[in-house]
Amino acid sequence: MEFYQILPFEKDNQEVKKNILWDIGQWKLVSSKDTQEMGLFEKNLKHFQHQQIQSLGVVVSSPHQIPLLEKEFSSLYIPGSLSRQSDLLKACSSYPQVILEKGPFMAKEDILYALEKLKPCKDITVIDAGNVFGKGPRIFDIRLAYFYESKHIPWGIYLNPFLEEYPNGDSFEETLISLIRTVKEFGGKKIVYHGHYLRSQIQTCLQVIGMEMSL
Amino acid sequence: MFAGNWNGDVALGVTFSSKDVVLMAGPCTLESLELGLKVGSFLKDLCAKNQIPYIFKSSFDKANRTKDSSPRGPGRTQGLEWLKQIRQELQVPVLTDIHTIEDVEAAADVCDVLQMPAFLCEHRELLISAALSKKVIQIKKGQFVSPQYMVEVAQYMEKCGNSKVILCERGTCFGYRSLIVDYTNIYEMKRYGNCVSFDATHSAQQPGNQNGQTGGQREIIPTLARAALASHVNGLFLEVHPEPSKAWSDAATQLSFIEAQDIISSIRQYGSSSVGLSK
Repeated sequence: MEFYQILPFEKDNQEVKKNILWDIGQWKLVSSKDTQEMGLFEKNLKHFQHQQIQSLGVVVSSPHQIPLLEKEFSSLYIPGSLSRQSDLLKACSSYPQVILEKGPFMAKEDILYALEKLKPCKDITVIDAGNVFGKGPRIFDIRLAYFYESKHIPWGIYLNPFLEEYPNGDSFEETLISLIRTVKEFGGKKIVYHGHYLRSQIQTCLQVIGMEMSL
Repeated sequence: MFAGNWNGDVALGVTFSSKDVVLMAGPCTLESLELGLKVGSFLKDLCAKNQIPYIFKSSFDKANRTKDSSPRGPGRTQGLEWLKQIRQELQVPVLTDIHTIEDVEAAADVCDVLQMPAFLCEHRELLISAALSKKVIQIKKGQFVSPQYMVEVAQYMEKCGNSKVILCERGTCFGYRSLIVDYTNIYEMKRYGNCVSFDATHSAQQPGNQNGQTGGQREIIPTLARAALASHVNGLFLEVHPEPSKAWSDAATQLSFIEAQDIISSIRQYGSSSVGLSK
């Protein structure tokens, strides 16, 4: 199993790492205080060009970004709320590897339609980020774990949406252990997360489960 | 001012205010110029009869269909040309949705209101681009975001130089195939002085429950609309088609002319749009 961290590109973390999914465009508005700068994707992409190490992946949010990429990243990551944007998926379909986050509004059949849009890409992983049930944290439908396994869909999970009810700093141990063990049991291969605070908690949970691995 | 630094003006005499609910309505997809003119004429006349301000709505590109094989519409060039003709002929403001920065630039030349789709309500650069167009921007609240987040979005738009923002409630996901309407969302979005509308037809959707197509419960739309009017929304959004069962999109929830007439005739009875509570 592999663990990937989503990280915004900032001047303090310019080291190119292999297990990072770079959010170089800061595509998602988090608060009204966010930057109003446009073109961040193109600007920050320059840092990754001519690097000797190929980074794991980059978060994409618009079809026009894909032709700008050459070999800087091995994977493209499509955020869940954009998982039905036909032009974005079609643009990504020509890339060797795509990681598609399942939209929080999608049922299992919808995933298959999204995968259709991504043909001819042959290496697609679906990252489950749960489903919305009104307000509160996302819910992971355990039936989807069997669905992914039985349909031979490479899959994984994005941890953060399931933890939103917990204030920062509290232990998410129960939820993390449940999710990681489920992914492992049903043949999932990738776990995605963001936040340095979570990394140490994941490491602790892995030890509890008996999975010796370094993030 | 009506909402923030915006006096509510749209165009052609249509204004959002604390007094009158504005109707934004038309066919989901702009299937043809003739269809747009037919639906627009009907709605314009009906609104004039009921003294309701009216904005014509239709999409030139349904860029987020569940299935790739579903029709998307006439495309940007043809669609905007038709919207321009509809605006000219009917003399009503027009609204369309945008999915890319290129869409914003092209649609701003023709349309009076640009609409951010619900799935794209978090897209930072698209929000900025829409704000910079200086048009009125209607932002559909994502089915998976909180009303508090939408208040942040409106504040962000204001910081980008555009306070002409309408936040549109369109239902919240409740598991699969199901949307619920939490009317406290309207209260939450209005309480900071925002202009708020309600999308009654999309709120009745049952996403993906028809083999990759969106189903819905058309029969509950009047109830949803009237409850929203009673919640003092400033605008009501409806999709209308002369033959809904033959529509290219949202066949299960687009309203027939008779159904639309029933709801529109009750706008004055059920709602008056007080802009909201104290800031």
